[in-house]
Amino acid sequence: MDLTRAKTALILAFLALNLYLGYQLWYSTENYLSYLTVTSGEVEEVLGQLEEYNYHLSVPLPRQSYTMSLLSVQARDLDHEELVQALFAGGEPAVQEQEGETVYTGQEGTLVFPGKGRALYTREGPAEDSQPEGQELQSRGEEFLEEKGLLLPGANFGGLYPGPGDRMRALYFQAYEGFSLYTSFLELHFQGDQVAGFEIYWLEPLEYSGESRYVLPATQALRRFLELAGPAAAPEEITGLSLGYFSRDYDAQRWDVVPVWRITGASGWVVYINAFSGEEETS
Amino acid sequence: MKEKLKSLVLGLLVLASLTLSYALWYGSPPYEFSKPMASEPIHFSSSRSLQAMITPDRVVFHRGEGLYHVFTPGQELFQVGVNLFKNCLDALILMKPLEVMEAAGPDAGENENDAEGEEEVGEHLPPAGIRLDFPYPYPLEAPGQPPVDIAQFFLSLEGDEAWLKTPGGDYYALTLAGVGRDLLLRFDRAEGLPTYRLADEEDLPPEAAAVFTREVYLPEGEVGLPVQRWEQERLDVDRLLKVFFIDMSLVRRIDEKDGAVIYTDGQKGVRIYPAGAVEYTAAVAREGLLSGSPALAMAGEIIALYGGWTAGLYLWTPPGPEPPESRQQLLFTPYAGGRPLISSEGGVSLSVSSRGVQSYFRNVMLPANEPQGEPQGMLPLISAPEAFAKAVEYALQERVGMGPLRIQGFYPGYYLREPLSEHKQAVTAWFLELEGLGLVVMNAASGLPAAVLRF
Repeated sequence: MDLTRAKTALILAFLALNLYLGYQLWYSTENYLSYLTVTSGEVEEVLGQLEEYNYHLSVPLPRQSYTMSLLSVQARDLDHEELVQALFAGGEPAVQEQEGETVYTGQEGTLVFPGKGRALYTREGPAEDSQPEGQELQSRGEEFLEEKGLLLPGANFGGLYPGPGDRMRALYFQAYEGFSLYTSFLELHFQGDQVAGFEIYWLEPLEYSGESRYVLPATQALRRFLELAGPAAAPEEITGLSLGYFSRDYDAQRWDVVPVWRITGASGWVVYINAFSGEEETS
Repeated sequence: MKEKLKSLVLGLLVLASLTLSYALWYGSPPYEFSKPMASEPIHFSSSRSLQAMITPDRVVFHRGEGLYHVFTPGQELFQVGVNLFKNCLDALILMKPLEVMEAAGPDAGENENDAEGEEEVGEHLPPAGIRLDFPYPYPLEAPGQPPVDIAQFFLSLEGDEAWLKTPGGDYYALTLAGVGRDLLLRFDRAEGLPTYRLADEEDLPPEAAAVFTREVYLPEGEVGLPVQRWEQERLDVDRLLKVFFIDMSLVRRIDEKDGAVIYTDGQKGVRIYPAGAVEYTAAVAREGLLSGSPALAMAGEIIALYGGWTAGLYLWTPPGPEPPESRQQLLFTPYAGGRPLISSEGGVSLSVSSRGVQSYFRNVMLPANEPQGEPQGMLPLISAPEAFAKAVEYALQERVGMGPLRIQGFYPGYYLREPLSEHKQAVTAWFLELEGLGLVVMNAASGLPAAVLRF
């Protein structure tokens, strides 16, 4: 047998095989990247579309791509005793059961537990002689939470916005493995520079559900938003664009929340775009 | 030296091919590329055609001299009657309109409620024969004949005369190339069949404000229903979900406190009740809902797709405010041994638009055993005349509807109590059909009213 000729034939055969495999690898990677990468051209195109529709994006446009799954959650069992002790340190509040709600009333205010995972607290606030600026208000709020031991684990500051009567509200979302759960929140209600109450709806993430898949890029979410919202009558500022989980709150045992792009405007509007399907998620 | 170089190159090439193969094999391409849409057979059963779905609700065999036998879906002679009807349609040569008549049928001249025109009709309508009554009009599209909807079809026992009646009351005499004599003979030769008589005003409570809008047949003598056990149909939920949702990775699950589970992709939702019922709704506009033949034709496919056709599942047309062919909600109910299982939330109920299924509710019970024909396997019912009079009296007392009652049917069957509960129970019942309104359900054991169902 001619070993030299056999080696040459094998070299040629492997060369052809490697060329074929290399092409296959390049092809799949090329398609993979073209799907996942948000190009500068695309970013410019979307920003142009936003301007055309009278919107201005005042936050950076995320260009990363993510794989996410659905997330199973359930309403968290809030420790009623702990909350009562934290809020009514001065004395024993009166307790009443009203249509499935437990109501605690004392000098320090009223605390209601309307259902699993929920709590609503109101108290008399001071006369509204001053309205501190954002950063200061946030600090006041966090001081209150710290003092009462209410800083829930994984609570992330989600912004300040005006509530009824132009009284400010501070919103905290629950975070889970780097993403916010927009259904799960703690909202502080201010009166002047003091906390006059809060609302909690807190969830307990259980496990990821279903298959993991790539979510729509932010550019696509913004395009979908423009399709749904249409052109703005007056110039609007988009102040938030972030990825997280959301679903309407169900009176259920357990449910799945979906990955969403949360788009917020300066005037207080919020739109959730399902990051899998591109459909709007309503609360 | 040259050979050593060749060996080295070859080694490197082998190594490179292994590396590339590994990268290709174990690399993680995006989901969209790695999982193209799979197409697999997803039907639970074969679909049913429009003609197969529209069946009569009864086949009436008139032996003459006021002696009737009534057959209902699931009974052997009912199917013989349907086959006979189809044979006749295949053998149809000519269809000729008859004079406009107010009333007709093999019963003409025997029912006091029949109106004028008997003498004219009588010439065309022999007294003995087979009649099929279609609560949902059967669309006849025979070559060379104008399309008509059939509400009643009659064939004389001799097979020499046939006619049909439209929902509008028009009559057509039919000329047939031949009739399945063997099928006709099966009626004539059948023995030991339960007999019926036509209900008339004497069966109504005294001075009852009620009229008959269709022939009502009351079984004579003692009446019993076979002991029938029903079991909840259990569908393969995973398979069903794959039919409802194209992309399961978009589907989220909600476990409700009552034990029901909802699956939704945000646009459509499927609720699986703890006892096994399935409810589907799509979040699309209710405009454009179909009715009539287009809706029914789609229903044949939809049921096959979303759970399948079970053997005893029939199109069911209870009385309602709209004529059957205008209804957007189609109902299907299970039968066993010729008797329906009726409930407020049972069987299959669906509506469709040109874009597909709009709503779909399925709570099918399956007969768990064959009806036992032995005497000890029969559940005695209160007699038909007694139950009929009580049902009419109850309807009048409760003022079910305005004005005089318009009675269009009365028959025994099974009534499913608490249809969505895991403790549901089927009881024997008499059903009084009131035109334009719904059903009065009478417990057939106690003779007490059980429910009024409106559709």
